[in-house]
Amino acid sequence: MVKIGILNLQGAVSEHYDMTKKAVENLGLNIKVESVRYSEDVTTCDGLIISGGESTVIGKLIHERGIDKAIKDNSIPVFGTCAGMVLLGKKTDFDQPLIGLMDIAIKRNTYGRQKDSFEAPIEIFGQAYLGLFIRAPALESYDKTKDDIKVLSELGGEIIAIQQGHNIAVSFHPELTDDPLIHEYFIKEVLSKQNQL
Amino acid sequence: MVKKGTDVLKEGFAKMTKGGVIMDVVNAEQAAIAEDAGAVAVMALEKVPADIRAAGGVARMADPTIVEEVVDAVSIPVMAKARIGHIAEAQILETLGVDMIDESEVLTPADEEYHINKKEFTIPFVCGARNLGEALRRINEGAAMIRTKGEPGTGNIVEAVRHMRMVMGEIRTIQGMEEEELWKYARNIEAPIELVKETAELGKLPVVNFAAGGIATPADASLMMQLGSDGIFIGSGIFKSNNPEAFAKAIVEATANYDKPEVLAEVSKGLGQAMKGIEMSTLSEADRMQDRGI
Repeated sequence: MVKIGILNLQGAVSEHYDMTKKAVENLGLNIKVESVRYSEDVTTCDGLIISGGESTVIGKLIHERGIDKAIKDNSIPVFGTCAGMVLLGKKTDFDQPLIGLMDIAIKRNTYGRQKDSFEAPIEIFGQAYLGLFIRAPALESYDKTKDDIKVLSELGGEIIAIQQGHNIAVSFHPELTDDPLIHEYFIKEVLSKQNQL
Repeated sequence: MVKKGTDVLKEGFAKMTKGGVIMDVVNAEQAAIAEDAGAVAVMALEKVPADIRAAGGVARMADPTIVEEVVDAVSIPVMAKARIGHIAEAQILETLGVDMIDESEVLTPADEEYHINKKEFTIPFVCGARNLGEALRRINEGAAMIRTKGEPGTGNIVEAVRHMRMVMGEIRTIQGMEEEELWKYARNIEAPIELVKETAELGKLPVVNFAAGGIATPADASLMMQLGSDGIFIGSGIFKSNNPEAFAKAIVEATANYDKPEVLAEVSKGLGQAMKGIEMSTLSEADRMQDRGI
């Protein structure tokens, strides 16, 4: 059975778990959703979600536990939100451990501190969506020479969602809304990778 | 339309700290140690609770210079304490760019009747609670996060355990109740019925629930996580220990691996002396911070 892992190290993990369950139910699929904490558990996943939280803290734990290696060795598609987006990048404006799965550079706290955190209507996959930006990052740049990179959403000139291969990075928090649209999209990406194998 | 300071943004901020450790710091140097060790946020204040206890007198919001110094020193969120009911201190902290305010019993209360109306602010608040009634009253006032009060600055975990067990036990009690029983329960604990019902349905507090007040060792952090805390506040425990760097790292490791005794054993080795601590029976009524702002 296909399994989506929710990386349970730090941050809004249970929210992602609930939203992924909802997405699986909506799609009417028989997919297992599991909270995972160590590399040996990550290895058994067909897709992995990395929550928002503190990217410095999550990144350190990922590195210490060899989870970055487990992801790369098994080519596991990753969906990262907020801190998860930072970790998917190859570069950010602080010296911290990253997974570096996508050819993107991230600017942490693009929009400022918590008093500047905001919600705004955005558009993704041609649909209206609620963007929840909490001390959110945005894209600094991406490698335009890579033809597997696709910008998924922009807001006010900043790229807030991007895909490379089967990996997806968004700077906002879909897990705090009640719309599983983006989780459903990621599950379909995981399945499309399975079908290619 | 773009909106700021909404409940989902405030409560969402708190959710991003789950599973993490929030450390008290009094200057930029300590803030950097905390960030390096893997803190999810720091709490900027003038003195750690143990020193506030020792100094006596009136404890107030930190000097804005300290708050700014800490804000500039780290990339992680910065919190700061305001006195209970002190609206002006909270407004000043919000202006300084603090990410969350702790309306805290560690400082001398400014108002013995009323807490701050936290809904009026753009940034979120965390408040202490000893039981479900206190927790839900604070949430009703707009708190986006709850923590146990424990007994701050004592290095003694017993009160934090009491408060966490109390809240968890009360939640288990109301989960099995009929509607009429919930009405009566809400009246008895002086909490709004809507929040009592919501808590009963969720089987947990409607906001993130951390442990605070007396955590001094990695084992203490693990204990609180095992009792159901979403994360850990540590005040005097780190910078009152002999080796703050090692202690800070060990507390983070212990929180992340709270269910792995073999990791706890490893990180607890050779840390040197933890803070001395205070036995509860030696505290006078007046010295009990947890009885402030109920």
